[in-house]
Amino acid sequence: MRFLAILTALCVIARLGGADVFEDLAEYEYGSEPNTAAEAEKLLQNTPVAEHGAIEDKLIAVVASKDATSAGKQFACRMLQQVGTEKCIPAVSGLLSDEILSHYARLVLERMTTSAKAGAALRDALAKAPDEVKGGIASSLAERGDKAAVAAIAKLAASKDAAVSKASILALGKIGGKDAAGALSGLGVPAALKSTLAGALIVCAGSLPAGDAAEVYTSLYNSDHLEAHRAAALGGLLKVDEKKAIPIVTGLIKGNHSRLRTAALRMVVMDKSDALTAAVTDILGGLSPETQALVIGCLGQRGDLVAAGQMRGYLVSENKEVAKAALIALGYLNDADSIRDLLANKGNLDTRLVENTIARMHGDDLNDRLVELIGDKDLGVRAIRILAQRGHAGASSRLMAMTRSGDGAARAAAWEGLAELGTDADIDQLMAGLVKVADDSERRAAVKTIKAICSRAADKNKCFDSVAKHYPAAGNDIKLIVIELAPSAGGEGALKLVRAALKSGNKDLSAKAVRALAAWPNAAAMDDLLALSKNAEGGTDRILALRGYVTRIDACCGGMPVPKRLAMFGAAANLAGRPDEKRLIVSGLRNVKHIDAFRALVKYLGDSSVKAEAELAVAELAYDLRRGRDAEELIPVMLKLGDTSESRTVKDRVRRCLSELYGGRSFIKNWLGAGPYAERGKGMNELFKIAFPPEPGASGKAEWKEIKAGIGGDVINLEQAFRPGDNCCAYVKTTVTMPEAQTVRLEMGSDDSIKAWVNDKLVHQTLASRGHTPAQDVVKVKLNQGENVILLKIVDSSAHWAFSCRILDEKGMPVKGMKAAAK
Amino acid sequence: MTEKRISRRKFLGVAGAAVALPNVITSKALGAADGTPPASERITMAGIGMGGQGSGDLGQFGRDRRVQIVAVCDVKHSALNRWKNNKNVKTYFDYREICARDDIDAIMCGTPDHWHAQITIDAMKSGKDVYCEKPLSLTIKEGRKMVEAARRYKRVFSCGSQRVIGDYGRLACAARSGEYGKILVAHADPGGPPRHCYLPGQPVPPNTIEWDLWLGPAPWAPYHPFRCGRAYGLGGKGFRTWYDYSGGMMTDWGGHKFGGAMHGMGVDHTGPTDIFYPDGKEHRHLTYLFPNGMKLVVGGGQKYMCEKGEAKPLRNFKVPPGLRWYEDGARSPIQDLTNCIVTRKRPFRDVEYAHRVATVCHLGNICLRLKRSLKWDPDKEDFIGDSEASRLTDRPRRGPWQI
Repeated sequence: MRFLAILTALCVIARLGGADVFEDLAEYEYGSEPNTAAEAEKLLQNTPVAEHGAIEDKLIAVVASKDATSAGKQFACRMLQQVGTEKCIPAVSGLLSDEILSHYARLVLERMTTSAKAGAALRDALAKAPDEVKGGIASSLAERGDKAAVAAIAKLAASKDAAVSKASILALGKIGGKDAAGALSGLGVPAALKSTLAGALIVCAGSLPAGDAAEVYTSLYNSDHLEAHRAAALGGLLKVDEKKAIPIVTGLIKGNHSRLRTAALRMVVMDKSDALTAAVTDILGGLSPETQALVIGCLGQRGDLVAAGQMRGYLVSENKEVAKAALIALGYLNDADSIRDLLANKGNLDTRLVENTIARMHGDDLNDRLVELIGDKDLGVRAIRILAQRGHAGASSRLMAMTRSGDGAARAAAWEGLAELGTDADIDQLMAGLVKVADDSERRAAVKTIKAICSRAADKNKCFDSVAKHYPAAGNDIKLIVIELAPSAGGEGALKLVRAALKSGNKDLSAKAVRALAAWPNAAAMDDLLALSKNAEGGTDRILALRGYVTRIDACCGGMPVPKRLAMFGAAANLAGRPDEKRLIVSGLRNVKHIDAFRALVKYLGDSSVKAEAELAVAELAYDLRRGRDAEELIPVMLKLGDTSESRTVKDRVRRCLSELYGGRSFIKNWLGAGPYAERGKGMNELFKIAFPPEPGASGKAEWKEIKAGIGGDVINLEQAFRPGDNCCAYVKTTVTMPEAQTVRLEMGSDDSIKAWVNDKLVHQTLASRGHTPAQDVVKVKLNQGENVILLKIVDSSAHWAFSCRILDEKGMPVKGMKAAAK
Repeated sequence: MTEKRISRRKFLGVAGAAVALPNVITSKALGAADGTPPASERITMAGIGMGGQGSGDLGQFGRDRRVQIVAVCDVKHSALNRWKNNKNVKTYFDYREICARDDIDAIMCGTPDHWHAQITIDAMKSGKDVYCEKPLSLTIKEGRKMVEAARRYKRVFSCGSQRVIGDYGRLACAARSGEYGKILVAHADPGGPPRHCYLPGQPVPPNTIEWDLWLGPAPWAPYHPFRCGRAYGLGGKGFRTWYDYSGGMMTDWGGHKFGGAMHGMGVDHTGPTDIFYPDGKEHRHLTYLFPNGMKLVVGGGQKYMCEKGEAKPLRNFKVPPGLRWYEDGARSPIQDLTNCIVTRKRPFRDVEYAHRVATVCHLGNICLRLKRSLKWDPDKEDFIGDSEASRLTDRPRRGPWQI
């Protein structure tokens, strides 16, 4: 691909060596071929910056040429926007009076931000240009901040042409400064432009000294302008004279002017002013609860800690929404000093909301404050839960101490916290503590904690060693717990211990060991489980072992080669007698995406005890395998299943699978390709008519190559198969072998135009500039028995280039026995 | 001390649910403090740009009982057909008529990208809050002007992109959980830049489209159906393919994918300092370097490579401290904006964040166009020492349009 790209660039450069692409650009029209605008652009992008000067000269020539087309000049200006220097200004400014090209000239001149000459050219044109383009030129001068243009633009602001006047007013606002402000202030405008003038004044005031700006803002705020402009004026006033603005803002919050009130609230969220926070918190008490809730929310997002003290007071507001708003606001403020008040939750807010709010707060000392509260009789449990949510591991030593507390609830909370925050370093101590736990529920909590720590430990063996260390000296009950923990570790030492327990002769330990093996997290216990499954006298243990064995194949042996996994399922199948055991095998086989698993599953279709599960598994696995090399084998099974199954779900799955099996197969993907072919100056329409060598009857020899790139599910992307390009064409052909002579539907889609020959006879042609969808064109053709050659010509105009083709019988079904080959 | 522990799953159920704001979201909140209800009990909204995405967005707004759709606008006649018989909704070809209505509280802008800045700024100037589909802008400078207008006129402005949290939020939570250490490199692959449109002119079919209004601030060009086709419609020949109307897939999917990556990296309030052109050697892919030392690589799927390896999303995720999220339990940017219109809070996809993300997209396009590495000042929002690149940070708008 890279080679092709280089080749393309070389071709373009080679063209430049001869006939100049920029000379051709002067003749460019939209849609003309060759696309000199695209070629010139490509050349520019591939040319080092140091050589842009030479290109600029050629672009200037196009812009200055009396004969050059408007489109050519447009694209020349686009390029000059990037590379133009002051050299191009005279030529480019010559376009400023043209209704269409004026904008293109502005692309160049407006963006030459440091060139005084560009500004002068724009100012000069402003006086001479027709009204249609004056607004645009004024806008460009404004974007450049050209203060020298103020007087000229001010004259235009008073124009009777509303569009010119409006553009000039806006331009004056953007240029800013005292002169512009003066011009705007003294302007009398019709009602339709009053709003424009207000907007311009607001922008302009931003460039004035504070005193002058305050005057403009105050005047605007007190006027009868749109509320939006009055709000903006107030925002401006807040920046330059907060003493004057703040009482207005607070007055609006207390008042009943809807739009201005929403703007005032936004100021509370967004506008910088220390005094505003204090002023707004001061008025909170006198507001209605609904407004209080709103303002507290805004103060929270404002993020000013000055408000935190007042917020805490509102946590106990009788109005739930106010209290809730205070809670959320304190969360935003990340105020560590509020933690105790928040946890105390005297306002009786939703506990989960309180804890979630604190859990999301950030700040260095928040975790420390929470750890400090662990021992607190009233707040400790909540603090632990939040620390767990925050994943703060530094709390584990405090929690360890708390597991020895005299308070049962505190101990339970400590165990739960340690489940989230404990590390393998704590295990030894936890096991020692576990021995002393008498209460059953607490013991369960402790075991759960130790399991959780073991399961997330980086070194699981090491972690379990700490557990197993307590095994020899422990009583039966602790031993049972250790065996129960073994699968969560899953290491070699753990397995050894479980095997020993299995052979210990202690019934309880042995039963626990079987369960541990059945839940083993990796494949190491597979042989043990199989051996137990073969023990016909095993009773429950045998059942558990076999279940464990089958589920472990699925859960732990995914990385093993498929034949090995299938052999395991085979071994399990020989031992499985109960329907639930067979179901597990069916379920496991369904997840092995291999044709042999499919074959094994098919055998269960005849087993009435698992027929329903087997049918569904077969249909689903077939769907997963529909694109594999053995897809052919799936079809008869699916057809039969579709006929025999009574389950609507299964029938739906079968239908979906068959549709894809047929659909995917019916699109021909085996093609030889020749091309691309193009001729200078020829577009799609001409190329469509020209007979290049691959066409029947054409002279010359075509070079065919198999298409290997760009082959999608149905479509062949010719930009990938050949190269990206506009106004070119390519030929593709395939040899279709028919078992018997037959009339078929030849379904084609193309981007853009297409011609089709069957056995050298033209059967279809569509000349269109279009995007591709499958089966846009359908023709019925008769194919001979044996080999038939399908030849297609795909012609591209611009952008994407692709096609698809399939052959179906007259009923729209795949043709049985048909084959297509790239030859 | 008797409370039961909350499971993570339960926590998510609560945190994810749209938290009701009963007394906050009432007409009283929008209306007078003395309790006098306003004329309308709902947020009145207009949709501008009623193609596929715009219609979908507006439909979502309309399903919220707090919102009432009162007007729609599109320059394509067919886009308005389905609204013609709706007596409660007035149809327009020209969005300026919507801006002129003072009974409309907010607009949804779902037009092609080249219109976003003009329409939303004009709407904000007339006092309307805004939901604007991504990508936010066509150029870097106009994005900044959108931020300035939102701040100047005190409007709530949310950009679209449901995927930043919806698709990539969990991954960001994992990357920021601390479990994987510090983020070193984020990956995202939105797609490529746009190209110039050279399509030949065709007569404008009568009664189908207001062509000059469709072009709006973009350079004049002749009509062709592929020029103004929907997004990537008609076999990839929609407006999003073309430079004059869009930043291509780079800005379209960049709004989602860069948005997701920058959210997780915690850099969506700033911008990169270096944009490295893919030279095939040191930088195999287009790469951004951010002031905090993190890199964003364009390619390799959506992922974060951290000190302890690649962050994997957790099934039971939690939002880590300090990671921004939707406001008040919203589940989408549309719900989020509706909440914020009432509460006046800053939405998750506030215009500043959206602008920073769009800027990264534009920087990528400029870098690929100039085929060289660039240095960027994220505070001044200009290139350092590259005047050619600086020129590409904005484009003049065709008269009479200006922002």
